[in-house]
Amino acid sequence: MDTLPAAATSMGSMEHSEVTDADLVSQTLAGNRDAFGCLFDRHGAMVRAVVGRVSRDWPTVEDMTQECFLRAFNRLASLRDRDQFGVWVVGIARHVARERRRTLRRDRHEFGNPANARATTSGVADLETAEQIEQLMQTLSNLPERERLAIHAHFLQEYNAQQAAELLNLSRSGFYALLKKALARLVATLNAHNQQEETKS
Amino acid sequence: MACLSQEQLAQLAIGITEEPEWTAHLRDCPRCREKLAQLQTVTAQLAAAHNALRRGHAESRRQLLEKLPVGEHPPQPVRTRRQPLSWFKGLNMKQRILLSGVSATAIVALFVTWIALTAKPLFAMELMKESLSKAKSCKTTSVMEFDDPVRPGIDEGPDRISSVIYELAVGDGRFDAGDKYIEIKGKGALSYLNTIYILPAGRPGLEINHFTKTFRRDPVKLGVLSLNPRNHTMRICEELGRHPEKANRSLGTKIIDAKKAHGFAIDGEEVFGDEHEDGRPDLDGPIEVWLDAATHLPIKIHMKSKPGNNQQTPSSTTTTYFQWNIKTDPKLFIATPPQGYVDETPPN
Ligand SMILES: [Zn+2]
Repeated sequence: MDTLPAAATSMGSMEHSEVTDADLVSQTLAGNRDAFGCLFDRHGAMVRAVVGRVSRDWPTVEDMTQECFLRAFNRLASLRDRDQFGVWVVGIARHVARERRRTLRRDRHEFGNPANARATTSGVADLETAEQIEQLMQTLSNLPERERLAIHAHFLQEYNAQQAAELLNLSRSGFYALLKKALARLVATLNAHNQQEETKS
Repeated sequence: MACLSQEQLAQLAIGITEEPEWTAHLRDCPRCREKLAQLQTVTAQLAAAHNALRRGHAESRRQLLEKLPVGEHPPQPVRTRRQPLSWFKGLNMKQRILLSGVSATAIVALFVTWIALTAKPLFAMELMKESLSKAKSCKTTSVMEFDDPVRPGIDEGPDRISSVIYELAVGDGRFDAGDKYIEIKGKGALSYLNTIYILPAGRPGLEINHFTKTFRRDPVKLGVLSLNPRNHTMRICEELGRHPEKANRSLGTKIIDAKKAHGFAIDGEEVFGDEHEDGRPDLDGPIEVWLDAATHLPIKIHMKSKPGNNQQTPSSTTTTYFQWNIKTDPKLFIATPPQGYVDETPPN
């Protein structure tokens, strides 16, 4: 009764199957914990991206991510539109990130310490590229929220174009309009930053 | 053709378009080619950074499932109160004041739109929705009052800012914070706030300071808050999609501006919630809205905000003198800087 279709239980591939988020939420509420694991497979990376805004320290990011999903689990019964699980858990992630940012502000060294800056660059062999990516992600973290989310949704392989647009409650064309705006702003901000650095030195 | 804009280049970099004209231009223009190459590097790096977010996922999943509370079903929901939100980050006092005034007025605008878009059980709200859907323009006066003008160690700010707001149904907006409306206790008028924001829908905005004779293009860059009412409308609609159950409480009937009005209280925390992280004041208590009993259009809106992370002073904002469907000069929304004014637009 509580078993999932095979496609959903073999979520190691993280592919979206015809099993919807709503199915997985229902299965979880019926007591199937693995179904919740599948929801984590689908949206875990997005939540890491969202909370990664306030810390670049991997253990902190992981800790916040788990916190988000624990809260989601505990409140799952209150989710009205079960197909909106992704949107919902991203909302929880933003909330958790804000809470944590306040703590981290008091403890300023964490974000700025390059030794901790490993959330998205460990495994990048080339140090210069790693630094560039860190700079890029820092700049990204200052973009307006919707633009930031559009970039995450587009670049995370967990979502196809339709799902990325749905995550932001946009049409496909609306999503792409937001995405190109976000990228343009990101590059403009990076260039402004680099120019500033040049004039300083 | 002219050089490609950053957005057009972004469109090419993510491969959502293939315009022959653009491709032809790229062949002939080394500058655009270079910019496109930079964008392609950025998208490749973004892809790499996002792939890295999957690191250790299997182990993380195992840990998460272990941590789930024991028991057959997830427990019943526990409602937690929203944390106060921060805003005004990194702005000086002048910018903070301006932004607070403008964001408060923007919220009023949003709120009006929100009311227009939501279907409430209350009949009055239904009627108002109908009336609003036909409204072409609106002019109001918004007064923001700071409860606690004595703030040792903090820049001196005014006690009271009054702005005149013009809006068109198409989304154009204009906020005039004129000096004659600004008062500081014991100091009279404070003229450095003689500032106008022009925010045409979908086009770059303009901030004109008549005191310093300077202007800035696109005041959105003052903070991450997007001041374009149309953007906000979209966000509000989305927010509503998630919280369709907003309830209203009746505040009864009273006479405002010699008109009979019905009042309602609405939980603004719920309505404006997370989406306005960077631009909303921290609301203190419900938002009060009063509707003209005859026209069903808003006649007065009042809200209070409490000190947040970076906002030291509680304040209240009252929006009154609603004038609906008045003839509005289209020139009000043209974002052209006055001659001789100095461009202070920060580099993008
Ligand atoms: Zn060119």
